[in-house]
Amino acid sequence: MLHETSAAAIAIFSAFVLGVVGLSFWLGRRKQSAQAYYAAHGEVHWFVNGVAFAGDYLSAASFLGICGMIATAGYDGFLYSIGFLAGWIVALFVIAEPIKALGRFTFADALDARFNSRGIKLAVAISTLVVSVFYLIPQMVGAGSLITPLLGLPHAAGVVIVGVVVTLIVVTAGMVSTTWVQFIKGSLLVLFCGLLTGLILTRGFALHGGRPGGADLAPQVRTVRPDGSVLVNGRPQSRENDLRPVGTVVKLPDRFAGTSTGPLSPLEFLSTLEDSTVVTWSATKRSDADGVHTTYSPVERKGADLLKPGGSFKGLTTGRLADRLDFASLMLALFCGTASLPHILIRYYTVKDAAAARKSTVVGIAAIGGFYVLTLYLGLGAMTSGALDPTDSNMAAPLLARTFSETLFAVISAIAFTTVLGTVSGLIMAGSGAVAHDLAENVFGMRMTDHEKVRCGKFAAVGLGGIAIVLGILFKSFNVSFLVGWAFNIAASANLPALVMLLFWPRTTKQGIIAAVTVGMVSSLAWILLSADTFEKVYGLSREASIVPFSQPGLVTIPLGFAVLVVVSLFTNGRGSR
Amino acid sequence: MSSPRPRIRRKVAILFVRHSIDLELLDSHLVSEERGRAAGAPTDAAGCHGERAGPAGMLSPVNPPHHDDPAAVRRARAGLTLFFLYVVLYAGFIGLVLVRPEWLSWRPFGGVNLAIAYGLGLIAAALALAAIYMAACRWADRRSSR
Repeated sequence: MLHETSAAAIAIFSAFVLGVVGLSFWLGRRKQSAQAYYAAHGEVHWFVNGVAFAGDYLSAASFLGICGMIATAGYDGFLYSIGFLAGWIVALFVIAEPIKALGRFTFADALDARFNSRGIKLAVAISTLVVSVFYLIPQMVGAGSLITPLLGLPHAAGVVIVGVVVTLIVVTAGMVSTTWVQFIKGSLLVLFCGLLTGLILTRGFALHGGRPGGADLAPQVRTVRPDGSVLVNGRPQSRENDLRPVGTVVKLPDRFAGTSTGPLSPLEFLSTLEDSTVVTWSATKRSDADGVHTTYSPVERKGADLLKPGGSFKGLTTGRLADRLDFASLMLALFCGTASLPHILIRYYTVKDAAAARKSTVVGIAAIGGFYVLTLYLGLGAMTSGALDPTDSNMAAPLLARTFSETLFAVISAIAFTTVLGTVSGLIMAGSGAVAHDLAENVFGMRMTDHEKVRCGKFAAVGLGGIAIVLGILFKSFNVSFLVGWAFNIAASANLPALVMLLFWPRTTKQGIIAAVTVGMVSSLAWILLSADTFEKVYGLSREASIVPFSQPGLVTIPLGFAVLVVVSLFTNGRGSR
Repeated sequence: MSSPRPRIRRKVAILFVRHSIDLELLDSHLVSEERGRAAGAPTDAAGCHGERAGPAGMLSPVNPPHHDDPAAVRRARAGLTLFFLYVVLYAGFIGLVLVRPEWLSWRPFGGVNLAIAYGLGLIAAALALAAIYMAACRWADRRSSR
């Protein structure tokens, strides 16, 4: 579908960017200590830190991706929400307090606290950089692909804007400005999703998206010709001849006599949808001499089927054991990965003490959990709004907002784009700490004054910002959404076993930790590179050629990390390894 | 290939065992800690084998924090108990999705099906357990400051 450029969206986004950059310069106006740059003086209020957790964690993938997935596949998008939130339980109950007490600036500090080993710092710094870069690439590519429909600018512009703005935020005041940007983004996201949910519930459901019915069930064809021009239903694409928006309710429960339900309570909304019939769509592609034809066919589905698992994870319905294990593996990685993501862990060093770390995690859980409940309503609201673009599920939330008002569309588009800023600044900050504090200072033993440490961190941030821009442009045409899954899997397999065993098993040795981090990182990476998903989506080979039984490594590599740590620790125990 | 159900049961059993080991470990720290204090001895909790980080020193002291402080042991124990409770809820959900998906269509909650109710319930449970944990931490801190 063609999207109009919204001047209001660009204005709101520009105002936001100028605002946060101005704020960053103001926060960074004084000379900074390393403690200020890397840990915001350790004086951030727990409530601010809690909301900043939400701003750090809720990436574009969480907001646009999950909304889009719920809008197209129903319940399965919500499964991701459940897994993403469950990970915070590990963070709160197991990790929060000790990591605060053990570390100073980075996750490597905490893992190394008992041993003072350069090997641990090196291994952990590398795993931090690998996880951060893998997390960074989809954010940057996402920024590029979002900016075209949201603000009407080209891909590279989106990547460069995000890269430059984020580098400015990090370089001006480090963790202080990063915290405030994440706080602002987190609050805006939750507030406006709440507002949108309120509007959805007040409107209720209307047959055929509130339009005269009848056209819902006609298929549409989009053709991309060899010269790059686009046809819709056989004629050139234009404002007058564009794909019809999709996603409508075609039958309401009998208790509603008219064409709409009127206002519904949150529970009524769900139960009404379950008794309704909804038209979603499926896409099939074929190529011939005239170009690539994609047919979007309407599919009539019972609400009750959309609100149970299996819409997107086909393995849940086919019953193949490997497919089910794949799903279990994904849910395990989401559960274990959150609490080992470096950009989340460094937020624990910005608060005063362990009690503040705890309180801020609870605030984070409330904000993030609330947000995921809201996205369920946003996704289902979008699915039935009659406004969706069949070619781009990421646009579900903004297009839903457009059915209420153009202003709301502008605001939601601007916020969607700023979600990228908050997460990327957290990632650059984590990477900057790994390069300057862990690698340069602790591994290579560069002696630095406090001021030099800050400068080194800022150089690292500029370098990482540049790398992020280059990667964001290079990976433009790759399918990068799976990289977030990689990041979670690597974090869960490399970092979590080391962290948990260090805390709860007194016989852990430094060799055990180094081995667990290295093996966890390498094995999960290798598994992913050999998996059916990667064969199909990255190499363009057939799924059957893959040699691992299922795509998600967590179920195998997380226990492997634990096993390696135990075995190596037992072998090296008592050799003066402490 | 075995069916997934025994696997899940085995996993739960393993978690049970691991959890009780953790608790025992913590208990032993707690007991030795209190014994040590009662005897007026300097506390170097059991299980730490005196591996204080030595002179190395760029970083501050160095044992896992809950080995030194009885309130921290109690907090850690509360955290692990609640963590385990959530693991059971979460594993139960995934088990249902994998093994008894048809149960998820059951609609006991005012027309909302079990899939949605359990999912929202997991989010609510996370918040509820977090609140309980905060209360438990306050209790632990008060008790040890007496």
